[in-house]
Amino acid sequence: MIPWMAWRLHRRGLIGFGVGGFLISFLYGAAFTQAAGSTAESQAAFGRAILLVAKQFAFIIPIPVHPETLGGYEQYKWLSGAIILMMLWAGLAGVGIGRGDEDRGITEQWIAAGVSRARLLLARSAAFGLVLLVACFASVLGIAAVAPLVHQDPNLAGEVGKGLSMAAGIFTGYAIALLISQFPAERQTATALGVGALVLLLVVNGIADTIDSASWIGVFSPFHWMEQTTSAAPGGTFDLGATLGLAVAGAVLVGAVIPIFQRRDIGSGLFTWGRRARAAVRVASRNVMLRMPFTEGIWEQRVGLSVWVVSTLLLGSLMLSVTKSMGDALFSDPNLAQLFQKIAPGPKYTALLGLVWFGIALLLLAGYAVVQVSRWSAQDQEGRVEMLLSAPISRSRVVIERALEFAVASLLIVIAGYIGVASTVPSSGLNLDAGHVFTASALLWPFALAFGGLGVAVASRWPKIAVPVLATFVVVEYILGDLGPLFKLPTWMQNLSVFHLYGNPVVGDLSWTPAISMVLVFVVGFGAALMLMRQRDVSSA
Amino acid sequence: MTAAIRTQGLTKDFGGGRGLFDLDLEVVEGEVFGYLGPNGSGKSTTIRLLMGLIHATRGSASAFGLDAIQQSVEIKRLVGYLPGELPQFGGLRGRDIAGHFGALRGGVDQKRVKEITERFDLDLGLKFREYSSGNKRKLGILLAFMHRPKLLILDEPSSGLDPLNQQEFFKLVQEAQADGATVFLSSHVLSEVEHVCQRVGIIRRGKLVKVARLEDLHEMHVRRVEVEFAGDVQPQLFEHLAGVENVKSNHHSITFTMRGSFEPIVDALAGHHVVNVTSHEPSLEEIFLTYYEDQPKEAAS
Repeated sequence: MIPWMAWRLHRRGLIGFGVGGFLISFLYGAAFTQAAGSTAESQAAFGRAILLVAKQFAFIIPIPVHPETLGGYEQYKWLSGAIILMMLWAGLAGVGIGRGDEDRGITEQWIAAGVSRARLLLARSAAFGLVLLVACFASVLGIAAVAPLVHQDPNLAGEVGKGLSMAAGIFTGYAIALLISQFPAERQTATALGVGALVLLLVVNGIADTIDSASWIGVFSPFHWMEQTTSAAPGGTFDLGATLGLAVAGAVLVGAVIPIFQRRDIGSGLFTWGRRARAAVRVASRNVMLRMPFTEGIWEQRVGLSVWVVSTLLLGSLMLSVTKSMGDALFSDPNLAQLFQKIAPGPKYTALLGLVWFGIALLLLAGYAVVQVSRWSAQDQEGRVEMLLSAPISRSRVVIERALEFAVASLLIVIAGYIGVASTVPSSGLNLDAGHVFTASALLWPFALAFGGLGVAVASRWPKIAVPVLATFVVVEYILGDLGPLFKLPTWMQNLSVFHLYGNPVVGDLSWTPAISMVLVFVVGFGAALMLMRQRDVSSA
Repeated sequence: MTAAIRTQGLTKDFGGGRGLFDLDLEVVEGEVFGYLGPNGSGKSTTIRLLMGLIHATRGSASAFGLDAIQQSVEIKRLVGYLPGELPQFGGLRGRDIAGHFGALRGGVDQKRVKEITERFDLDLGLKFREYSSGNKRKLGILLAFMHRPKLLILDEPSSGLDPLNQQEFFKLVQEAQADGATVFLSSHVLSEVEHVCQRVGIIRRGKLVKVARLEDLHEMHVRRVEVEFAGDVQPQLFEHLAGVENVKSNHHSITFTMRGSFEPIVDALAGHHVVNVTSHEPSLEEIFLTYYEDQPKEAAS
């Protein structure tokens, strides 16, 4: 039953993180000698460069161990990021199992079929744990699989140890979200609190890692305990106690949820407050945002969009503020400075800003495109499009409104990022060309539009698979942009990546062709969406 | 009278024998038409084809002479639509949903919104996810009726409503008809809609098996009659009467099946000393159920 549940209820996550994780590990591993060179000296220099840069990111990603080795490089380059992504997945799964199933009526069906609440919770948690274990092993085994190809130590036992540590830590994150989800009255609040708690634990670990006097608070974070195992790198450590502790903590937390789940009403949180008495509302809203074309979508996602806008603003400001110190450390070594200039030509600090901030901004905007497509996809499958089309509006208008909604929302995020960076320039200690910063920020918009155009096209015709299709496309595009130069792929092939098309315009490396190409991708995607939406059958059934 | 709805050879083939096949149907302006059939018979598919949401494999559908696909937007200016299941509007409040759809349609009168919400005791201040299934249905009814449409297309509109609200809903339908609207409503329960419909169409396995006025449904159905006499009776007296079949006699009584008018029977009984006459008339629901069966007698004949 548990393997069946694991496959039926988590197959998308399993395929995404399992197959995707293996492939990403494998591809980054295959590019290792291109990035680090094939001699011990060049790999040692590469490792030193990574260590210097990594110190600036210690708040988010732990300092690497032996980055001059394949395992150490992958542990830093991919596994650290994979842990954060999988922790978000686990958070959403925890809230989904805790409350989402109830909203969809699945929990009611299970219970009506005679399954006890305790058994249901344990079976669902075991199924997710199994999926998590497979996904974590897939990522680390990708490293062992590629190692012989690049003449590196497969370090199989170490990789398995790292996989176990990841699975135990991320399962604890799942259990935390599951526990938190039991309390609020609504699933949406549970999602915000559950995922928010995991982000908070990431921040707690970041503080512990970067501020010595606060290092003790790290013990409260599963990220801290996962960091104790560094065995993916040859010579790293497998901390059995930390891994077992995480696994036990996860199991105890799931056990703690059982009595709460048994006590509360299905569809309600443990704590519910009575509704305040008020007169019934008998008239329709006159909210202007609901009455104008496309603004309804902006209004409906106002809270989520505000989070994107504020986060981008703060992150832009933060990244610019650390660029100077990061550059000082990196460029103090002439060899590293030379190596860096090969990767990112142009004024050194400006080029570094291009990688540090604009590189992250690209990922943020691609991520926003996936989130937006997921929203359209859900609306389509829930019958919202059917209902919209029952009003006197054309299918073309639905597509146009989606495109406008995406364009406006992504523009707001881009503007926020620009404000974050521009407002920090005076105190950054960097001599930046204001025009170039503006241009690089402005070009983020056509970049976002390119993904939005593709998203709107896929969502218009195949809403059920739109999210995995676009998410896979984003990953492939990113890897193509990241590894294309290392593998010395032909220019035309590298230009297939929107990430590569964007380039690094903050150093003045601006050509209109890529910008126009990105706009063209949007126009083509939008045009295809118009055509595809007209042809398809719209039905929630 | 012009046709409010007309379909010709309308087919949507989903494969495996599922879908809607060769539907020829005409609903005249101003009538309330009940579209009846069991679950999965093709009612919602017909409605989605009429609404231009799905494309026909062949054939055509139109409303007021406007093509369901090519002039879909023009049709929807005239239509009030209630889907079988209202979509998830999540955290939006009832008033936001009504405001948004009112704005998309234009010309919605707040007085009308107030009137309908008061009649159904619907609080628009709640979030959609807080509504019970019955209240979600009421909200759907509001969205369908609030702009006083010329044509109402309603997919199982009364399901989920309690009896009082069902009554209120049927009053609303009758008022809409009185104002000149045409109503096309689907259901799988005849008794729910029989008091508002002038005609019904019965669909089974994607094929329309009967379109009839309600009273015609009664008239065309076979009844079982038993007549008791004071003395012996000769069955030959009844065997050749119009509509009479299966005559059987038993000393002082005779039983037979009949369809159509009673007049020939009454004439034949004249001059005989009749003690008792019983005629079992099946309920409309029983008649309706005969069309749900795999081999409907009437359709076969």
